[in-house]
Amino acid sequence: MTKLTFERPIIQRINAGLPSKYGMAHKLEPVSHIDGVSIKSLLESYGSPLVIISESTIRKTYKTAHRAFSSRYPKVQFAWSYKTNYLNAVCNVFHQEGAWAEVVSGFEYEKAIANGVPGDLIVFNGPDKSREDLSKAIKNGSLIHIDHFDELYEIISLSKESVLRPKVAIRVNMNTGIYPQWDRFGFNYENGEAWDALNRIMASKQLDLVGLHTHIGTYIMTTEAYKVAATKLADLAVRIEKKFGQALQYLDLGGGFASKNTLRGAYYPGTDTAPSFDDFAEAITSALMSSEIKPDHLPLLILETGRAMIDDAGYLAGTVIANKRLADGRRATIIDAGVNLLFTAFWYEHDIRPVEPVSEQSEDTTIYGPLCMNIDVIRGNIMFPLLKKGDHYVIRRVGAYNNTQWLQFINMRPNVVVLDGKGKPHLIRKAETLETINSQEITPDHLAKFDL
Amino acid sequence: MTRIKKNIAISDSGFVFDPGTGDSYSLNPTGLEIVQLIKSGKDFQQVLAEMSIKYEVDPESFERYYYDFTTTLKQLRLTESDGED
Amino acid sequence: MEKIKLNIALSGLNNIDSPGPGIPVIRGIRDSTKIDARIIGLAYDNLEPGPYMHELVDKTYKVPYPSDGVEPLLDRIKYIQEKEHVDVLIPNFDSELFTFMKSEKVLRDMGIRTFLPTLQQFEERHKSNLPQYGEKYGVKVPYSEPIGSIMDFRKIEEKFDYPVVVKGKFYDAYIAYDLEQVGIYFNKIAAKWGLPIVIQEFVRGTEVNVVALGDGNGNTVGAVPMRKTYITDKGKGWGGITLQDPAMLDLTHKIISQTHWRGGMELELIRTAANELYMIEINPRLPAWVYLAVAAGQNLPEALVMLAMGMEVKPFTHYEVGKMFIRYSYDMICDLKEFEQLSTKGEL
Repeated sequence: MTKLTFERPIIQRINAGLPSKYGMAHKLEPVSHIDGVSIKSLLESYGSPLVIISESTIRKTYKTAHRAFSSRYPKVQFAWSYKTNYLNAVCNVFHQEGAWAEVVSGFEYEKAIANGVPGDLIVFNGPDKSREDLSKAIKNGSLIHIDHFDELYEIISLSKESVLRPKVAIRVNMNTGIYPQWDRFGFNYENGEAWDALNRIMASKQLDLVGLHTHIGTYIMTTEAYKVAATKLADLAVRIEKKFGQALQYLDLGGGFASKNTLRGAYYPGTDTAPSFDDFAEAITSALMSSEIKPDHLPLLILETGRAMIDDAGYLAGTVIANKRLADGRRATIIDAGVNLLFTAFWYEHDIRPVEPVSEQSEDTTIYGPLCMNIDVIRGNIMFPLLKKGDHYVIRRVGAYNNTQWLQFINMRPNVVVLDGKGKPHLIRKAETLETINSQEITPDHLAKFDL
Repeated sequence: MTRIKKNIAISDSGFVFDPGTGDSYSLNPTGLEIVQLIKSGKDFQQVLAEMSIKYEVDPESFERYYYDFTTTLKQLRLTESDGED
Repeated sequence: MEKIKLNIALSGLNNIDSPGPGIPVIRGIRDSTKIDARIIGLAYDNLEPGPYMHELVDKTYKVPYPSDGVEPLLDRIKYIQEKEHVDVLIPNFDSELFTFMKSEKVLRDMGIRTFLPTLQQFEERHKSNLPQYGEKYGVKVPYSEPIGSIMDFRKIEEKFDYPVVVKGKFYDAYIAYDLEQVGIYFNKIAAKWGLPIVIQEFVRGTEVNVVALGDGNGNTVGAVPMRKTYITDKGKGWGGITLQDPAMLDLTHKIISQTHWRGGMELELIRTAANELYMIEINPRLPAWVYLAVAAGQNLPEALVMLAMGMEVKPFTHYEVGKMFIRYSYDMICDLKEFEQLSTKGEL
């Protein structure tokens, strides 16, 4: 006779307060496979914890997004937001799908060039572009999105040293009815600063004004804001054409689309509330189509959405280290991935699932990471199945920002694998070791030895 | 040895009622089995023996979960205070 | 005329000191001369009184909270549907509506009809959108702004005079007399209902309410205005009386005809000393005092069920003015066995 799986015994007080936070507890269904590949086997081969990226999910998401826009608007171009995830393998999946690169630093710019992205297909954003960065971007014919007047004058000064005409756009910030209004990047629309900057560019006669850019915020859940943004950019484009007789080549609506992750403090889960690509596309394209831009001059529509494009494709899997009980009797489960690997745990209520089959039972649990730091909380108060030491978990939707913001802290950063279209795993970033860290350090001779 | 208070009512559905406090609780199936074994007068070794026949569990793990569980029962005042080792 | 047999599922069975509308809606349906209903209760908590009120509720199932997402809820409804063949489902909590509206088609495919506002109607009447709403439909509303933190409020503090009303996304409203109180209520509400919190201008006057039902084509099927004669410390009506008030009814007709409102609604209005009506909120469902409307001659729960079934409903034109309700509480004696059943099996 085969023995039954043992589940740890629990007793729970039947909540007798109105209303309880949970209602009828629902079972967190295990996630045992990603693209048909067993998570357990991946952990055995590549160690725990492990970042797993699904190439098919990236491609599928990209195609969905692209179709949403291209079915509504004649000219659409995506640019992959490097800061969201700049693992080269990930970037190259997007480039294979046809995405340009969108970078916000000299480092990211170099990364895109090294990946083989042609210079003229790189959108260069951000407040920090050095004179050297700008000079390189001008030489490569990259699209420079100017953030402030100091940068504009730097470019004008550089343009005098060369026969090449810099291709520029300005970033515009504006009130789109959402809170908070991002006003630290670019030139303001409402107070006329953006219009002044455009006039200055046109007056210089040395720069090619090719487009306009805006990026209204992050994790935006209302499509209405994009409608407002598209309308205001279109309005600027129309004014430029009227005054200077020049039609702009593109409008770049940036990114900021919400992913399906649930924000902390949100009442409904993100899977219910995040608008679809079709919703965003409808808002943006309908605003452009109904603007006063002449139909034969419709500019290329560039989108830089990062989060919504990659979040679903990333998983963080690992192992339960221990269970313990907190002073108030609640359960604590410690897992082997902490907030240093999962930065987004600070603002998301991440969808964490068991890998192995579990029963209907669950317990009010706080899930801690392994760091010896009080802030290392992956999920506070979650009705979680009764995992035991050595059981596995997987956290879904971690593809955005974690692989770029993660820290080597207390522990090393683990392996990252990508599952190709056939489910074959490929190691794309090696786990760090003591040597990785020590190789960057130099110990002066007088500090090399000690006696204890 | 852990002893469950005599007046505690435990039903087959895992529903536990403490008439002394008016509180009610629910047990998961393994919790229910263990409580019933304890109620029938079995000590840790005997509970372990019975559970190991039925379930895939090593003695070390079982011990850990058993004592964690009975500590909870004690905290909830479902056990006899004089029934300790 | 023979009554039609229908299986009707409802939530909001928390008939406690701050009651949900479930039980009053059921009373309306039970009073119906047209419907012979089997009532299936949907409960979130083991201590909601409804499941134990067997003369009103035939069978109860516990369901997961809407904050768990659409999927777990639909899984549960599917299970319930296999056993009960629900014809009409009436969600009675504000916090459920979004989830049920999103699931309207799936429910329909299961054979479950609802009669709910559209997502657009639901979204645009949100407390945080009230100023725009007022502007769009030409209705006087108090000034309000959504905030995400106390810091946010400090930036806009000078736009308000104290006291201000601090409101949650779905429920709860408190009057705050200074910044410190705003902070206290902000934290209290945010912990329970999430963000944003809405800060609203305090309009002085008498609170008056209308319960109404729109058919989705701009017609008002029924509407009864009421003034709460006494309000509990939780802001709920202890007693109320129907009013003869053409201005309130005109406003109701105007809102329903402009928005093509579908489903039940409660308008919360303030009548100022200058005899102006301010709209402070639209609750997108029938309120807990709906039975007063039934008693006054407008069985709105019955009409809502009929509309959901696609049957024709003649709009109500009259109601009895001066009809009163007095709310009372009652200690129902329950069997521990039943509590056990609901808490361990999730059904009763």
